[in-house]
Amino acid sequence: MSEATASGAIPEKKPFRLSQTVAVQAMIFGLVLIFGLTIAPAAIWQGTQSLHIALEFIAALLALVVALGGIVRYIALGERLVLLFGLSFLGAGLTDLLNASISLDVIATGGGTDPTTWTAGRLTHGVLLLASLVVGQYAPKAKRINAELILALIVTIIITAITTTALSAYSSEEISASLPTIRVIAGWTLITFFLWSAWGYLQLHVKSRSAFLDWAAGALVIFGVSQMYAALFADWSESTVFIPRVLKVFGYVVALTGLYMENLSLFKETERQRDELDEQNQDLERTNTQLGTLLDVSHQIAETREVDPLPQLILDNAANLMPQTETGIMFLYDSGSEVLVPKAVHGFDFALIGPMRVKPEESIFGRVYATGEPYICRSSGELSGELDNLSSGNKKWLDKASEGKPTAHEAVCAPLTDHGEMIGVLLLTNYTKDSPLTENQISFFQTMCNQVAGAFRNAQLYKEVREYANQLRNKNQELSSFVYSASHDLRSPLVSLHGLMAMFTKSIGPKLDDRGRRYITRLEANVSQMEELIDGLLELSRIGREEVKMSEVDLDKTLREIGEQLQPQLEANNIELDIHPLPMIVAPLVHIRQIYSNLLSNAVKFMGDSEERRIEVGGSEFGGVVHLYVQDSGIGIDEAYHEKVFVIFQRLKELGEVKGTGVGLAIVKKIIDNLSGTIVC
Amino acid sequence: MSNNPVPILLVEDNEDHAEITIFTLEENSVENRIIWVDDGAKAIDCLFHQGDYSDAEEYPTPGLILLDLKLPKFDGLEVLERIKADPDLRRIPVVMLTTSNREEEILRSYDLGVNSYVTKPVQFEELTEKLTHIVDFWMSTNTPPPRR
Repeated sequence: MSEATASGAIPEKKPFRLSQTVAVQAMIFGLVLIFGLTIAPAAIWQGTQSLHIALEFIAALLALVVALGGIVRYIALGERLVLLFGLSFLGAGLTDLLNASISLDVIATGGGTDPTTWTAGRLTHGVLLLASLVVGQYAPKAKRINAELILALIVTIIITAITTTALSAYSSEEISASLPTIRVIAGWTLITFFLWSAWGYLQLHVKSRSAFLDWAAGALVIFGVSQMYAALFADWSESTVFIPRVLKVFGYVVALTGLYMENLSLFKETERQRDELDEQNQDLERTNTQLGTLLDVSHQIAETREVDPLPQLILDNAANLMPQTETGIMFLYDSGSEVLVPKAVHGFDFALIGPMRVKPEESIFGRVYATGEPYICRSSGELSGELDNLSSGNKKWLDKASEGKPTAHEAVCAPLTDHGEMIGVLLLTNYTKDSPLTENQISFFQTMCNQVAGAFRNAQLYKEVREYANQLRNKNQELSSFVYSASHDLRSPLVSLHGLMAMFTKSIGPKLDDRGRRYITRLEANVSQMEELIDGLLELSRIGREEVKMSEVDLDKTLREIGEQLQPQLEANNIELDIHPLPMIVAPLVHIRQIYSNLLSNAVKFMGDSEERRIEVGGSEFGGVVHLYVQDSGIGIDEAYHEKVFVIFQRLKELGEVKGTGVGLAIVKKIIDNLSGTIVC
Repeated sequence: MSNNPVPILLVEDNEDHAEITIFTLEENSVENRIIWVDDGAKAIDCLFHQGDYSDAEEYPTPGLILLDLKLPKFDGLEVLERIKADPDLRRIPVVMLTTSNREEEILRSYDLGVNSYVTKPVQFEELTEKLTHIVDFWMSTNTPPPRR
C-alpha cells in the first residue's frame, strides 16, 4: 500500500471519507460499463473495424477509471504507488486508443500504424510502472533504492520499446519477411521484462501487501500475454490483433477489480478499526466511571475519621465497583485471638456471618490473608471446593447465610495490606453466569483494597490520637482547676494570718521587745511572700482556662500607659524607659499588658547597680511576623539559665531586698505559648 | 453598741475570719451589734426566728447580712436564695464577703439578687478599709428599707 499504511499507522492528517471514495469510483465504473455495453453491440453491428475501436475505447475508459481510482485514493490516503500505477494505465490506455484510432483510420493520417505513438504509449506505461516500483522500493524505512532493479527495468523497457517500434515500423510485407528474427528478440525482451517485473512485484508485495498491487500484477501478466501474442503470433491482420485487444480490456478490468478489492479490504479494515475504537471507547468510558467511583471512595474513606463505619463503607463501595457481585464479606484480623473476624457484610445477614472465626491458612480467606496474594475463582465447582475447606463451624454459618441464594460462579478475594502489614481480607461473590467480572473490574477492586487499608490505619491512629488528646485535655483541666481551687483555699488562711498578726501587734505589740517585734515583721514578710506566690499561681492557672478576646492592640499606646503606671518605680530607681515605635498587633489586650508589665517590672527589679540605667522597648514586623523586644542594661541572665528563667518558681538571683516569686516569667511564657508565639532571652 | 436596734448578721464559718471581722469593725467604732453564726442552718434559723434563735428580742432581724460563700450545712448561695425568696427578708441588703472570686460564684450571687459582692483582701489594712467602707455605706449612706 502507500507509505502511510505501510508503516502501520492509520492515516490521520487527511480526513478519510471512504464512502465518498467508493461512491465516486462506483459511479465512474458504472458509466464505463453502460458506455461499453451500449457501444459494443453498436460497434459489432457496424462491423469489425468499429468493434476494434470500441474495444480500444473501453480499454482506455477502464484505464481512466483505474487512474481516477488511484487519484482518489491518493487524495484520500496519500497512496503514491496506486496513483502511479493508475497513471501508467491511463497513459497506456490513451496512447493505445490514439494508436488504434490512427491505424484504423478513425483519425485520418494517411493510413498505417504510427510507430511513434505506439512507442510513446509503451514508454509512458513502462516509465510510470518503473516509478511505481521505485516508490514501492523507496518505502519510508528503506533508504537505499535498488539501483540494479531500476537499471534493469530501464534497459528492458527501452529494448521493448525499440523492438516494438521496429516491429511496427515495418510494412506488412517487411513484417512477414523479418517476423522470425523480430519475434525472437521481442520474445526474449518480454521475458526479461516479465522476470524483472515479477521480481520487483515480489519486493513490493512483501513490503506493501496491497491487494491492488496483486491485481495490477495480474493485469500486467495479461497485458504481457497480449503483447506476447501480438509479437509472436499475430500477423497484423485484424483477426489476429483482435485477441490481444480483448486481453487488454480484460487486463484493465483485472486492474480495476484490484482497485475495488483494495477499497473493499480498506473498507473492512476501517470498519474493524471503527468497531475496535468503539470498543476501546466503551472500555475507556467504563474505566472512567470506575475511576470516578474509586476517587469517590478514596475521598469518602479518607474523610472518614471514624473506624467503626469504615468496613461497611469500604465493602459497599467495592460492591458498587463490581455491580454483578451480590454478596461480600470483609474480615479483619484480630491479633488478640489470632483469627479473622467478619466486620461487614454485603447481601448477607450479619447476624449469621458475624460468628465466623477464620484461622490464617483456612480456605480462601485464610490463604489470602496468609499469603497476601489475591485469589480469583472463576468456576462454581472450584469455589465450592474451596469453601469446603472451611472449618465445620464456619461452613455452617456461611451455608446458613447463603440459604436461598443461587450458585456462585465467581469470587474475588483480595488482601487488605497497609505498608506490607496484613490487616484483613475482602471477598465478593458473583452469582450471575452471563456477566463475568472483567479484568479491569478486578484490577480496580485490588487497587481499592490497597488504598483502603491505609485509610483504616489512619482512622485508627486518628482515634488513638483523639483519645490521647482528650485524656490530656482532661488532665490539664483537672490540674488547672486543682491549682485554681488550691490557690483559692490558700487565700483564706492568709487572710487569717494577716488579720491575726495585725490583731496581735495591736493588742500585744506594745508589750513585745525588739526581738519579738522583729519576729513579727519577718512573719509578715513571709506571709506576703506566700500571698504573692498564690496570686501568681492563680493567674497562671487562669491563662488558657479563660477565653480571651482578640482585638487590635495599639502597642505604642499600651506601652505608654504601662510606662506611666511604672513611673514611680522608674523614678525611684533612676531608670529611663525608652519606647521605640511599635507595630499594631491583633492580640488579647489584657495579656499583652500583663506580658509587658511583668517584663518591665522584672527589668526594673534586676537593674542592680548598673551604671547605665535604661530599658528599651521596640519591635518590627516582617512578612506577617511581629518581633518585639524588651532590652535592659541590668544585670542580665547567664546564658546557661536562658531556658530556666521561664520555668515556674525558678529564681536565679536575689538582689538585696528584691525578691521574685518565680512566677512572673512563667506567666509571660504561658501567655505567649497560648498565642502560639515564642519568647527567648 | 447593743443599744442600736439594728444588728449586723455575720455568717462566717472560719472563727479567725469572724474574729478579725468583728475586731476590725469594733476598732473602727462601728456601733451596730454583730450577731455571728458559723453555718448556713444557723443563719436561716436566726433570720426566721426558729430553733435556738427563736427569741426575736435576742436575735432581731438584721439591717445588713455579711455572708460567706463556703459554709457548712447550707452554703452561702443557698442561704441567699432563701433570704431573697422570703417577702419580708428580701429587702435586707446582703453582702457576699468571701475570699473567692470565682466568676461563676459572682454571677450566681448576682443572679440570686445579692446587693454587693466583696472579695476579702489578704492584707489586713485593705481588709479593714473595705469592711468599714461596706458597713458605713449600707448602714449610714444608704437609706435602708423601712422596717415593719
